[in-house]
Amino acid sequence: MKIKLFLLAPFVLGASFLFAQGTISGNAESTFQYLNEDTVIGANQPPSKGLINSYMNVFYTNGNFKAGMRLESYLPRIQGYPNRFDGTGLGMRYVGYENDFVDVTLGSFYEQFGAGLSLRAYEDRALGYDNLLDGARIIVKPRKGIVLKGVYGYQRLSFQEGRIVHGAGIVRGTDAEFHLNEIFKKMETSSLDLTLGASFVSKYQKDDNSTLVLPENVGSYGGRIKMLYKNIYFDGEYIQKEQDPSNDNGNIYNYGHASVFNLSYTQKGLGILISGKSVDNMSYRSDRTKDLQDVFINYLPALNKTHTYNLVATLYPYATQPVGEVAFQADVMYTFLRKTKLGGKYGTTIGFNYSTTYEPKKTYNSNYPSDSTGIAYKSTPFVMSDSLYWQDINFNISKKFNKKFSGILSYYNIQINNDVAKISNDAQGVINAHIGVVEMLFKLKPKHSIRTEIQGLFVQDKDGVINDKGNWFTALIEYTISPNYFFSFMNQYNYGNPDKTKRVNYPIMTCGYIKGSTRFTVSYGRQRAGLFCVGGVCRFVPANNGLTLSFTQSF
Amino acid sequence: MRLFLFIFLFGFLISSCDHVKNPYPAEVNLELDTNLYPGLWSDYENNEWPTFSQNTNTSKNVLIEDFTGHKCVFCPAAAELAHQLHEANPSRVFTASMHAGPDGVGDFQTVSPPDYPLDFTNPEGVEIGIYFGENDGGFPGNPRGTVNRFNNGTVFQSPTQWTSMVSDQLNSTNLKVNIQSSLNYYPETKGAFLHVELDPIDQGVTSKLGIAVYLIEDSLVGDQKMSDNSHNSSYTHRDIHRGNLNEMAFGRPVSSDDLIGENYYINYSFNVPNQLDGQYNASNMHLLVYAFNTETWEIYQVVKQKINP
Repeated sequence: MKIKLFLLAPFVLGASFLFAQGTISGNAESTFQYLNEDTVIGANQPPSKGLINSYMNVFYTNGNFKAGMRLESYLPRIQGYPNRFDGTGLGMRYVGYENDFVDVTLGSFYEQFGAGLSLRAYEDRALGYDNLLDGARIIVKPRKGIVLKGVYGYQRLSFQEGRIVHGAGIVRGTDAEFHLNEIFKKMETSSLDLTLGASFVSKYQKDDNSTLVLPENVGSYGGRIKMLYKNIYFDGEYIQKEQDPSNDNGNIYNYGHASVFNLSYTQKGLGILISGKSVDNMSYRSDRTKDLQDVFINYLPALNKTHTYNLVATLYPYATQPVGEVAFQADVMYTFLRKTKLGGKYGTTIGFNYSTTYEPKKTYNSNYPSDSTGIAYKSTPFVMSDSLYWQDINFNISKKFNKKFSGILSYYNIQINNDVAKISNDAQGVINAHIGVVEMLFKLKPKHSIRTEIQGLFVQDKDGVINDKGNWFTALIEYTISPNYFFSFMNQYNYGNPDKTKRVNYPIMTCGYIKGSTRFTVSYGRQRAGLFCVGGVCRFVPANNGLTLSFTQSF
Repeated sequence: MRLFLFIFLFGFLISSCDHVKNPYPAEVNLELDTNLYPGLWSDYENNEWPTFSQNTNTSKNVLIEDFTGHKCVFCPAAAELAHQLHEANPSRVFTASMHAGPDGVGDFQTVSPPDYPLDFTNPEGVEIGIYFGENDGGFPGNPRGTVNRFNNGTVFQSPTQWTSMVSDQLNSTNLKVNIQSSLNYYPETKGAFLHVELDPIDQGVTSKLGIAVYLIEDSLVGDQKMSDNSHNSSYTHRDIHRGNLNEMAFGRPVSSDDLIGENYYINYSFNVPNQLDGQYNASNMHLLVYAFNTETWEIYQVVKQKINP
């Protein structure tokens, strides 16, 4: 025993010395669910009754050295998480070295080239999405204004028995970005700020298909530009993907392409944003046989407003269609100044947003698949058909009436093509919904406030029949004692469901306690089944009824 | 700076892409009798199916078709000449003794017990004899033969022409098609699988390219009428044509269905027959695989494939 302690001593002392010198930061999070059986809403009680997800990130830096890890635990996973998450273990770990010239990482890392159209490895824990790269990354800054990146690795597919499970393919990529104002002295004082970039990404996956000759190395490449001139900002990116037959595209041999641009103008009290996106055959995964949200190499941003009110955000969210879509968005925000007729004493802000998405126009190859090209159709960027996938027209007015009372009035009209962006098993064709929201905030006394939301969602009949689940009504009341406590109660009522037995209330009560960087939340009640989406990436959450406890801590 | 740009460009190179012009793999004609493999066919496909390395051969080989008969008195001399030509270039000159005349089975080939009881003919040899008896210049009778079916005025030539024609063919530098073959023989089933790769060096020949395979019995001691009209019962018959694989007298044209990459791949399965005397000896058999012009019949290349080396 003494000998063992003697042998361990240098390591213990070494570790203490090492950690005594550096900086440690991180965060922890745990979500526990105790679920009940609820046949009315179709919620099942899992055999273990209790479910828990836990995470802790630990980041260590010491001079130029860095290391980090994330321990994850699914015992078992909470409802709605991918069913391949189980066990406890390291879900991410890396070591690296970084100075002003070079940044090298070995192990797990997240990375994004440009807007992510060619490569984006990221984590969104709320979605259960994590496509990190496990391998090596180097970032070199040879001179001011130039950043070169190289990445090489397998992607995280799932987490089983406490271990990362990789996807089948290897991802390789290089990226270069040039900020011309820093590179060229003549542009240092220019009012035009210009950045150019280019990226190349390739994946390798063995051809194990006996009926097709599959490309084992599939590349995607393109360029991007960012410009800022006084109050005007523009960015744009175009990426082309080579032949990538996969489950997603029905094993066609078309090239894919994706483009996105944003043009904005801002001045005091006014913000205008015009965006456009065109995508065709851009599902780019490191395993061509996967689906849902598995091992995506790239990211196709959603071009619609991120809504926050319960009904509009969760009933009819739009998921990006990587197989193809053409989308446009316009967003305007204007504030009427204080002490004007429309601004009143405190000013009034109005917002307008319009987004729409269509299927790309495709000229089909009449000889496909009998010819030998494997090319099913041709498409042109930003040329769309008349097949509507999504449309969202919304506006809101925010006004502060006096020191103790302010309010927001919002209206939304959403049309979503359920045949393409499937959101419900009960709906057919395009769902057309009108949503109205009134939000009010009352400040009762210093640190005490009450916030309420009244929401109504009205689904337009289709061919004289109630479409989907019909109308909904939601009420929320939230009492906050800053900065430590909040209590809320929300009820969603599906009063317009064509099936009278499903005209159900979904009440849920939530309480929270916050102290410094520690936060506890307790909620109890019903949660309806639906899609939970962030940035066009969605996961299905089944109905549940029960207790949820969550804890977060950063350090 | 240049160094880093070089590194960046290097990144592009190592991550190159594959371009697929035709996504559908060429369908290999798999009309094979898989029962001839004494095991799971998947094992054969995974473990026994051969792959061919680059064919580096540059020499043109020669096939002498010696049309003969066991009662043809001048035929032993022609057979001996053909054998000598083979012996002089054993890896490049091969003989097929076709027991057939211009009418198929003529007097020289008929069975006449008790001296000539053995039938050396077979349907494919007879069909070839009948065809050439009427076409492409015809031939008057045995012994006559072809040298790579080269049309030297006529396709069939007197044995007196064979030596010079063989020499011309051997010295030809105009190799238009290369052939590689591989054979798996299974004594348990007496079955074999032949795999052939045709490499059209001259792409101009592909539109009229055919393939045929002769089954040849190396030698058999039997009856033969000699030049002095005597009966020789211990005559050694060599390179006896026993028929064609798939019973196709003129083989078959190759097509794009056989094409994988730039080469054609053709596969055969067959039962190794008994010798003409009824004994079974696979070691006494071989195949002659040849590629030819389906219009002129000219043989571009021929290779020999032993069945049980």
